[in-house]
Amino acid sequence: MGGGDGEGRLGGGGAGLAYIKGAMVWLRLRVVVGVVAAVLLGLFGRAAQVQWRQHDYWVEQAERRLEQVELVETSRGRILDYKGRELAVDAPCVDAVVDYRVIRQPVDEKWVKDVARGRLRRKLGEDYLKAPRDQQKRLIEQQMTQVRADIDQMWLILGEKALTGMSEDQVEERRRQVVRKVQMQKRYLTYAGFLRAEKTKSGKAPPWWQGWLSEQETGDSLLDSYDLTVGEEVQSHVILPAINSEVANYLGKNAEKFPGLSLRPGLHRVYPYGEAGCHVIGYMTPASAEDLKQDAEREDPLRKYWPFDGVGRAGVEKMCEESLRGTRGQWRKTVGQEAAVSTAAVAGKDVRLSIDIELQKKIEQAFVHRKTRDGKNEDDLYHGAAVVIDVPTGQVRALISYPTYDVNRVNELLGPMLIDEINKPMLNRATMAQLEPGSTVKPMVGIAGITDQVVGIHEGIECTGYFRYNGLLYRTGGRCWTVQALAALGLPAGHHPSHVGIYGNPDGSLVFADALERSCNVWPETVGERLGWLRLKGWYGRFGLGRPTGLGLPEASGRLPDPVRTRDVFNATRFAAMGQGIGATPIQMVNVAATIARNGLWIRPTLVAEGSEGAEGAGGSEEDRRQLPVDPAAVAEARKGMFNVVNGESGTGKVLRRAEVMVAGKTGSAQAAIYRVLERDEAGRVVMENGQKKRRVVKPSTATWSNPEAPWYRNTGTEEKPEYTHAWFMGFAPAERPQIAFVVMVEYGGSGGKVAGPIANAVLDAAEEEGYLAKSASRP
Amino acid sequence: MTEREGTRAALGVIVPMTLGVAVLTMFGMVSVKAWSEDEGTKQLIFMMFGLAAALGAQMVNYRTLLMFSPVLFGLSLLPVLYTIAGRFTSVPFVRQINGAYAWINFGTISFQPAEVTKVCLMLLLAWTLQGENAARSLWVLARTLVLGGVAIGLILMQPDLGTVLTLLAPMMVMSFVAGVRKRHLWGLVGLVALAAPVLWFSGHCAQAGCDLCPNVPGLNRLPQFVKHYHRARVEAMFSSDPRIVQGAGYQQQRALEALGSGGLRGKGAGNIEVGQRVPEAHTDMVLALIGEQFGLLGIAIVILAYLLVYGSGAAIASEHREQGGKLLAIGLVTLLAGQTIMNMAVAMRLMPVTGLTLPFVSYGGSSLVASYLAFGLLVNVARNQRRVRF
Repeated sequence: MGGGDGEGRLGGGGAGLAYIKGAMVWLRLRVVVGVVAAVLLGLFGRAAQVQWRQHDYWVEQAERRLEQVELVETSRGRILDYKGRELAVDAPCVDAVVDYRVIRQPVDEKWVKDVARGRLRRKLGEDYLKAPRDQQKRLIEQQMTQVRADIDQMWLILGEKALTGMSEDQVEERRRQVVRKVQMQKRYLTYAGFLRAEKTKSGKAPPWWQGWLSEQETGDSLLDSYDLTVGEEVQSHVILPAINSEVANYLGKNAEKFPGLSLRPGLHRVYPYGEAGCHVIGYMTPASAEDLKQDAEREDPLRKYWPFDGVGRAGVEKMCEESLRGTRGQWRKTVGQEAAVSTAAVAGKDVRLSIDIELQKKIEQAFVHRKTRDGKNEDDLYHGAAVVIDVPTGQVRALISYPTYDVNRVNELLGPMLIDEINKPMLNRATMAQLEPGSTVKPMVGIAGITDQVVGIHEGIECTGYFRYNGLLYRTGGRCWTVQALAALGLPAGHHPSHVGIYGNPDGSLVFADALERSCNVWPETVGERLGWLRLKGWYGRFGLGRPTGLGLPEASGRLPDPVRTRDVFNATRFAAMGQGIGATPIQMVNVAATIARNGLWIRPTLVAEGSEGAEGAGGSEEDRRQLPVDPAAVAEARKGMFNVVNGESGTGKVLRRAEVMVAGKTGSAQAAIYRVLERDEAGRVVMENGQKKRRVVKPSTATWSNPEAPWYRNTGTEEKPEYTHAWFMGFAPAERPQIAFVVMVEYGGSGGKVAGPIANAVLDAAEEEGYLAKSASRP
Repeated sequence: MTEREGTRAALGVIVPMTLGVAVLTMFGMVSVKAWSEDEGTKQLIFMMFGLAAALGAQMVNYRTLLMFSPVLFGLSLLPVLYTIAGRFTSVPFVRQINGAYAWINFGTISFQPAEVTKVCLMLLLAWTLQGENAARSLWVLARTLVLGGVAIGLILMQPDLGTVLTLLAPMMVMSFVAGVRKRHLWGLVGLVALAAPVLWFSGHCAQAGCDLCPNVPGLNRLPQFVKHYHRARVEAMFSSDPRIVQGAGYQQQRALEALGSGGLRGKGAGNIEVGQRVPEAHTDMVLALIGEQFGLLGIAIVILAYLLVYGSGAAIASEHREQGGKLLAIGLVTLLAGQTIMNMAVAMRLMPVTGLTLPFVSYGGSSLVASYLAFGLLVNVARNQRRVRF
């Protein structure tokens, strides 16, 4: 800009003022040019900062932005039964999926435009392409309106309950959840990016101007990774899972009318055996917001729960959730680069159960109809539980709770089932029902008494029908059943009929085995009183009562005699000795039977077969076996008594007597309380009264009348003198070398021998058919 | 002196200036073509129009143009008024784009009348300030401000704040160079200092529950000068809240990624993987495209080219003996330079987003034609140097 000098010099020709003015203009021009040049240089400096000093940072940012991350779904492990039959499996199905750009609200306009353009091209072909621009534009506008209308129509049709089985609200909810899921995925990746940035962050925060110019140090990379694209945003998501062929046909035929909708093969959990073993297998429901929050692996995108992920809610699906769940794969691709980094998905592990599903199925059916010993069919609905255990290993071969439900339909049944106060189909009675075990505890009492030497093996205790203590005869509670039985025949109370004293005891004086065979109440009452409540409780505890067995499923712990709560220690103790006033679950009782069958070796029952790879979730290993400190002679005596229950002259369980197999067992008939249930209104809400949940009494079925509400709730007594009884039968077979132990519990069934016996018979039949019961060589 | 002689004498500034413009146009062309094949082609056509405008500017001596500048200015305001009419009633070819009625759309081609108005305003201001010591009188200064104010007021009604900002610098600089008295200058600065807070706090936000816009009793009855989205853009520059950066600061964040990933030497012409994702990269953020393709080296070349163009322009102003030509030249230089600086500052997040194009580089017919027109006028001034004969 040398010209300025000339200006000043030549300007001298005019007035002095002009010269000054020329100089002034020159100066001021210089100022302007200087400022412009300086600012441009400053801008260059900023460019250098961004492109040179912060180059790596911005490259990383840009790469992260270009990265597309997509999760690859995995499959859940199968649940197999002992013989390898599939109980739960991810089966292929057809899902109706919708593109995310239509799911989100408002729908993606660009996408709508693309669809509209595609339609026009298909419909008009050349005409459209050659049309003048204005007309093209108008056509597209029209078509876009049409596409938008079609989308609205599509959501209405998807929400048509009669067609698709999903209501509009459900579809809407699903739509919301898909959006939530995708948003969450984005947020998760943002968070991961933030953590990455936090790790590399160093030192204290720079002043704001530095932070503003160079974000490098401020660590607010949180925002930088925020908008990274997750592949899910341009993918389709399941709206109607596992649709049937009819719906698939309809949707497929009208595909053109439903923009964004397509049919895609998917996986859904199928339970081939339906109702069989439902309480053991369990079920799954989609992850709730709470699950996502509580998820221990929420930091790991490959393992964590996303919305729609099935979560095992009950049974083995829940117990072995960790091993059944697979690990997702991941697929990372940078835009413009060919190579995609992918992590393969790892399928979930299979879990092989110790359950035999055929055995399970047959026993379940026995709760509805059975064959009596003389070959007649008997159809009576009972509610209850049955468990079969493999004696040498402690593996559970069958674990039945009745009523059952179809696991495949659990999504629709769940709501009604949860509020079904009367039938409680969801309740796994085998592990959760703690009922008074009644006479089935008597073998334990005897073993305890003999081992603790409060009664001799050959010592007889006289039963006159009433408990005698310190010379007093207790006529009120704790009578032997003989009192009633004799009274029915018009006879006074007395000894057990046709009892012959042995080992030098007088007639009517029962030894342990005799007492078991006849299910005498006075004998265990006497022994229980001699033991005292503390030792009695201790022995029950050793046999596994009063605490969960550790099977792996949710269990009730049961109740043991507790004189702190019951002030009447004397009565509490003698009642506890005959199985009243305490609580035990069927799984506890079957383990008692198994423990006796093993001569006092306690083994923790397990649901998972040996060598199953997904067994991590099953019961712990510590103290899984324990030899109880029992007198072997006492156990032998108990086994002899239990053998006689089935095979003896006076046995209470003679219904189980069979020609080929020796069975040992013990009946139990426990007095039950009147059945009260929560009252619910039509909407399923609990009715409140005076601030308390209102309960009502269920009317019992009698021999002549069946309550349609609860035909299984029986009054086995008379109208005036009602009797409610839980029936038990526990035992093992074959008696001499036990292979299986079993228990049958029937709620409000009546007497153990009469009601639980036939079901136990069905258990033995089924076990025999399925090969778990070898026939004995000969009867002793 | 004939025009031919004048041209020959001025070659020393015209050649470097043309060289600079050519380099800038080339950078722009490559970048726009990389962004979109179609728009690259269009840009080529626009450049032809631009060249035509630059050549057309040579047809008449700039003094004649200055003489007719009030007419030209008035004519150039007509389409602006037309677009403003679009704001109040429905008129053909005008619709709202990005919140402003600044464009006239003819199907594929759209036209931003304010771009031409800017150049015409430079002519008008040069005309009004050209008298000997003109700016030393307060009256002339006031006239300048009023004339400029008309243009500013009308463009504000569109409303196009970015264009208004580009007008302020040349107005100030032209008055400054024309020799405004220091006390007038300080007075003006004082006025602006007084008006600024009023403008900033005037009006209230139409959005319910807005916590960004001030709501000062008394002032909130005035129309809002700084709109909500302006404030959002300012906030976005300083904020690290992801929601804000993803909203108002989105464009700048992306632009910095594209720019920064270019490094020292760039990724080569046509490689704009990152830039492809910058919104409006071919217009407002074209610097990011250049930075990604050609690196810091490319940016340096672009800045040097601008220095060459504006240096040459300033030399023309400096060499020129007549006040009118001198002022016109410096006005045009500041107009372009101001726009350049603001655009670059926005692209590098030193300023809130304004929506200004980069002269000679950015995609856009109106902008390119207006830049070329200014370039043509500068050449015109250079060629019509009146030699002083002793």
